[in-house]
Amino acid sequence: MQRYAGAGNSNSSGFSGGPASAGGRDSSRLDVSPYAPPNYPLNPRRQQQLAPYRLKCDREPLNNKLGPPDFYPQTPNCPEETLTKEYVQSGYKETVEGIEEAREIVLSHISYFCKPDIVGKCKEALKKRLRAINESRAQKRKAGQVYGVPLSGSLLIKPGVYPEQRPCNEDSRRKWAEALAQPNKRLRLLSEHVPHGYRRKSLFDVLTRCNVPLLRATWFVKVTYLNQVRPTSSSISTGASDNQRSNQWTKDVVEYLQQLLDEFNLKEAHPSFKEQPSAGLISGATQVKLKHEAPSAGGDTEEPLVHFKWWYMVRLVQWHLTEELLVPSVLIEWLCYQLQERDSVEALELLLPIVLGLVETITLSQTYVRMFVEILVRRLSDASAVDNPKRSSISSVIAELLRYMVLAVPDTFVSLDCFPLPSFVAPDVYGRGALLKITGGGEMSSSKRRDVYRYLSCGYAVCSIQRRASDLATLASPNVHARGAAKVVQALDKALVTGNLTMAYSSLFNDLSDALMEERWIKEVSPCLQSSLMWIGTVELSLICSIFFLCEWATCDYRDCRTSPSQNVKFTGRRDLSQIHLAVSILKNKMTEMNKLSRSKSSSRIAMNNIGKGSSLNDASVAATKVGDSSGLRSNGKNEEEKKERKDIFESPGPLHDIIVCWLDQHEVSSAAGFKRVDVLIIELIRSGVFYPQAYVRQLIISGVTDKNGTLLDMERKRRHHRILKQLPGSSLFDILEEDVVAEEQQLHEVMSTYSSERRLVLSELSSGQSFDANNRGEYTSSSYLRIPSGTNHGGVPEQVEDVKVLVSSLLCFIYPHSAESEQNETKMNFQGSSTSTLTQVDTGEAKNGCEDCMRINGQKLDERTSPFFPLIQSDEEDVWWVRKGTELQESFKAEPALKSIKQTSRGRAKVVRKTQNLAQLATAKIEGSQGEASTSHLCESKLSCPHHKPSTDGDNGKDADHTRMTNLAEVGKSLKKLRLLERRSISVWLLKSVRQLVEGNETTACKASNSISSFSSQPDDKTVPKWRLGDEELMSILYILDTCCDLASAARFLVWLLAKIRGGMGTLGQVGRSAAHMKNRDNQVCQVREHTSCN
Amino acid sequence: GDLGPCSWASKLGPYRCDSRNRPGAPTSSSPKPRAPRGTTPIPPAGLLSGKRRSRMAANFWTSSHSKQLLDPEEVDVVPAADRERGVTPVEFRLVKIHMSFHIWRLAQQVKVRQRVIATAITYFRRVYTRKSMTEYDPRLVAPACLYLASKVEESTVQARLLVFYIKKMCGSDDKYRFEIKDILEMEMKLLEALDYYLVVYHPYRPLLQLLQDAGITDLTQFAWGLVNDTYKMDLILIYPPYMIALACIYIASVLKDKDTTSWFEELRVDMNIVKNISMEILDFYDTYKIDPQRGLQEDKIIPVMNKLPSKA
Repeated sequence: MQRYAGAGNSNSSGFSGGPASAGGRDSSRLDVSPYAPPNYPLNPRRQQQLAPYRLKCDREPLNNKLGPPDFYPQTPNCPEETLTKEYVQSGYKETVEGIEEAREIVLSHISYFCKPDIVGKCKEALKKRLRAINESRAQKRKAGQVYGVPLSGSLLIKPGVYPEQRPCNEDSRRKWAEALAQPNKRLRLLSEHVPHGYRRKSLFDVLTRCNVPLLRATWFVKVTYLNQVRPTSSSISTGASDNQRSNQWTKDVVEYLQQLLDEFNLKEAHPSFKEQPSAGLISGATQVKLKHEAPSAGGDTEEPLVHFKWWYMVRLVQWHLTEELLVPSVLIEWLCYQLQERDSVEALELLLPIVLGLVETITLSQTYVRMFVEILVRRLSDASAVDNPKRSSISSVIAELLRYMVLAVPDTFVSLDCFPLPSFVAPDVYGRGALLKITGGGEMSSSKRRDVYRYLSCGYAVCSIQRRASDLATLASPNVHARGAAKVVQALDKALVTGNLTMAYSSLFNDLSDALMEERWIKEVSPCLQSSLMWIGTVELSLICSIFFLCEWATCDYRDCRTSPSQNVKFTGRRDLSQIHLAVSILKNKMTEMNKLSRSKSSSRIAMNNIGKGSSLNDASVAATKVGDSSGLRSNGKNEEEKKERKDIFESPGPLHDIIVCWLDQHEVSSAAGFKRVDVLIIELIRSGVFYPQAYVRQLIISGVTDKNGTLLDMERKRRHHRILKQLPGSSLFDILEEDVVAEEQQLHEVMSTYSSERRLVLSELSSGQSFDANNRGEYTSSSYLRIPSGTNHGGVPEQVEDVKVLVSSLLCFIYPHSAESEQNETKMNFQGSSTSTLTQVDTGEAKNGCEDCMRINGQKLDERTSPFFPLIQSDEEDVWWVRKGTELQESFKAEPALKSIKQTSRGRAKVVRKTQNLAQLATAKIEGSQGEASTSHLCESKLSCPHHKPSTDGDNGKDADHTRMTNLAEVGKSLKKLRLLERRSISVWLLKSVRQLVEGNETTACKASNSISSFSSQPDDKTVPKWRLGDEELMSILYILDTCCDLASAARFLVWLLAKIRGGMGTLGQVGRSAAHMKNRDNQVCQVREHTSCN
Repeated sequence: GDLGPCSWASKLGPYRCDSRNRPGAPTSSSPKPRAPRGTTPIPPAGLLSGKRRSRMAANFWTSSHSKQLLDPEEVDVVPAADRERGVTPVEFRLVKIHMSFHIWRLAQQVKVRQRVIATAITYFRRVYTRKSMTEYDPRLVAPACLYLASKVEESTVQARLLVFYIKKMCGSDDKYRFEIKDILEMEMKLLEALDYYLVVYHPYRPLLQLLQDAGITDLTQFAWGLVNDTYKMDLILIYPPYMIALACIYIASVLKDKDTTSWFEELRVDMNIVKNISMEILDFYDTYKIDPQRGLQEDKIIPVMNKLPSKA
């Protein structure tokens, strides 16, 4: 049955006690405890366990620290009961500290004492020592503390421990009491005849009548109550009998106090009482006063004044409270009752001193504090109503009491509804003029000033209590979801699923209102940085807070808030970064809104144009060169004076930028994933023009954050900035900014050059004197670079990036101009001649203009600024050419190292070339091995080559081995992963741009050649206009690269753009090529394409 | 109303009574069976070999040891049978000292811990408060005690090992030579003579504890040596172990000039007794000028031993 009961209970609790689940028999049990633990019935059985055996010893302990001698009780951690590995292997062995095991037997002093006289001398010394011990003991025994242990418990049972009371007649009793009052009569003598019969009222009466000094009175009280409540032998423990005595004594005291109070009431009209000035309410004053009073009271032996009796009792109570002879709770409850019952000021005056004595105990209990504050506040308002000197003194005492309690237990006051307190208890610090009133008094003494300070501090305490209370009230209110934060998170999460930003936007900027959080949050930002930001002062705290919140939400890497079904679709195992994109679009919207506002305010600011704002994704005609959505602060550099423009670009673009700088300053990242998210966020913000790295670097310099070397916090901040800045190398930034057309290219070069050097400076300063990561890439911090301010690299595109670009180009079969360096030199010179740039030859030329000549030759009208590559198409009939060109190229490669040394370019360049060479050779080898096999799956066998330059990898056909491609792709992926995020982005930007150009270039030709088969693989009608095809493989590779670059957003845009191309192509050309259909198909199955890629 | 340690009885000053009591007086008169051997379950033999009892929970005051404590006079009584053979109390003591050395030397050969020796000597001395040396040949009782003690103290020594080492030690003297069966037989007799009370409390454990409390652990070695020497006397049969330990600490601290006055005066102990024990120990050193390695001088002990009958 027991077991069944248990099971039944567990069931019913599992179903939250639903009566349906319970049968008729069980119903009785259900209402007993549906929430009882399942094994409830078993509990009693468990409790009946055997009590563990305890060794007992009734001997006295040797001293305070040692227990009884030769007694060893069980200990929980007995060494021989714990099996350690050592014990198991070699057995338990007791060791004696200070003695080797082998020596414990041999130790003996027989030989030592054999020396003559030793024993005699030793005996003398022993006796001497014994005398010293005994003397010292005797002295101590006189002082009554032989063992220094307070008599308690069993010790009290022994006879003679405390004086016994003896019966005696009235007369001797009176005499004894009088002797007790005289300090010169020794207690030792008095103790021999402690009289019986002084109990309760008579005890108090005799004490007050003789005005017995408190110490002696206490002694007498102790003796009396020890005799009254006799310690019993074993049954009652020490504490119990002590408690019993305390309770008894407290009861008697309270009773007597009550009697006195009643007497006061009767004598209310008595003149002697009325005459009494308001006796000092604070205990110190009371005692001083009583010294004057005592003789007169003592003289009047017959009937001391009630008043005197009362104050004697108050002193005794205060004394005994400190000696812990009284039970405070009993007294407190009595006091509380009296304060409620007796309305008169006089009663208040009498009782307040006792309250003062108990105030520390009162503050320990919330209930007591509540009770007393209620009473005191009421009495205070009563008292202050009448103008009377006595009342004013009372109310000042009450005010002091309240202040003490407010400062002692502010937490308790949070739940009390006692505010506002009268202004003379605590000032309303936020009230108008309160401070003026206090400080307006002009000169004041130091003591008074201290009072004022206390008064003020109490005001502040009250203020924070009120704030806390209102906070709690708001939190508890069901209408507000955790200050709106939860609501905002909900809205953001929802927006993530639905894609609808409106709700999230309004929720973020409207619902998040928490003044406390805002203050606290902005306080975490380093003040020097804050003060150096020009916009931060102009924006509201709530906006800062909202944006902080948004950034935190976006970069928070421990919450997976998505509920969409696509959650389960894994692409490359990459983290989902959609939150960041959502956040960026919200920020972009915000920026637009703010710009509109500011523009409407003043038109003098640089015109912003939102070119890309309106670019809908279907609109194919929108500037083809723009991949990104170029909304926001884009200034059309051509229209502006260059100088102004350049200055502007180093300035903070707006409040959002400054807020994000602040956020970066205080944002703590704990995990690697978190770092990545922050990086992505920053890059996206850069791309959307919200965040200007060049301005950020300037701000860091101006703020002096780099110089601060104080606290740990400062170090942490420096570390944060260092980390962020390290991820933003100038060269890649250039690509990205350029791609987004932030400024004119020429100007951008200069900007980036300045940025690079400033960045290096800040980085070196941030890392100086710090232990962390002294930069793994020497070129950024090494002093040699610092010496050349406009050195070779904003600039000298880091080799890794170049490496990867070359790899990618060879993979996708379009040419990357570096490999044809020698031919570019002339172009470069041309460019340089026209530019005032401080940049070195290498970077400007090769990055931008390398292919200009090719383009000219090809007669294509591509945009000069953005066409670094060539579409190179090789058709079958060009085999011969390919071979020829190939050898030519080999030659040029051979010449390369020499060139390099002359130009003193970096070592990496040579490596690039070598790699390219290797690739080319590898590819050639592969081609030879797989000649003639046509891959049927590849409809768009696109090849690229350049008629003038190098045909990069593939030989003649598409079957040039998937294998090679895969190897290359893997290599590309690997090297991509080694790059910083920004560098990867620059690659993705570059890649997309090139592909667009190629495709569009084809398009143009296709349009010209109206008889082409398809828009993408139009046959060359002229051998000098070769075509590059975007085939299956290429698309897959591109998508793979974009994915690795964390640039899925661009990838998506690119695909949409492609789709539009196809449609456009269909529309304009009216020719439905197989490849177009294929493209379309593929567009719809992006995932498949990608999976296909990664599976291989 | 939650009071701390109440002070009702504190500061009553002059009315404290000096509650010293005589150390060693048994606190409870009701006879109890054997002292509990602690509550530790004994692990399988061989897993934990020996020396466990030294750390176990224990109460000396309820033990047989405590109840069998004797007055000094009782210990010195020479059994009638020996008296008839002309053995004086002084000679009786000499034999015990001599045999204590014998046990000690033998134990050193078979390599046991000090507590085994201490227990063995205690058995030996306890036996002769009840039996005569005439009846129980001390030359056999000594190794038998060591054999028994090694069992009780959980570091058993094989009897044949004892026999072997005795032969090695006293090869020349036939009177000391015994066979294994002699020892085994004597073991039984011993058990009976000891009334099967086998648990002995030694001063070593309180010694360490007290030294620690007094803060003079640097005296451990010296005091330990003194305790070792007390087994040349009958102190273990007379005083509770902690008193012997205190006496040794007392001597050690005085000799090594450590000021322990304040520590001793705080102890709830009759210092006169401690002093007396100390004096006894010093007297022992003074009286018997013993060779620390070989024991008593042969010319002193041999005549006494000759008064006792050797094995039949």
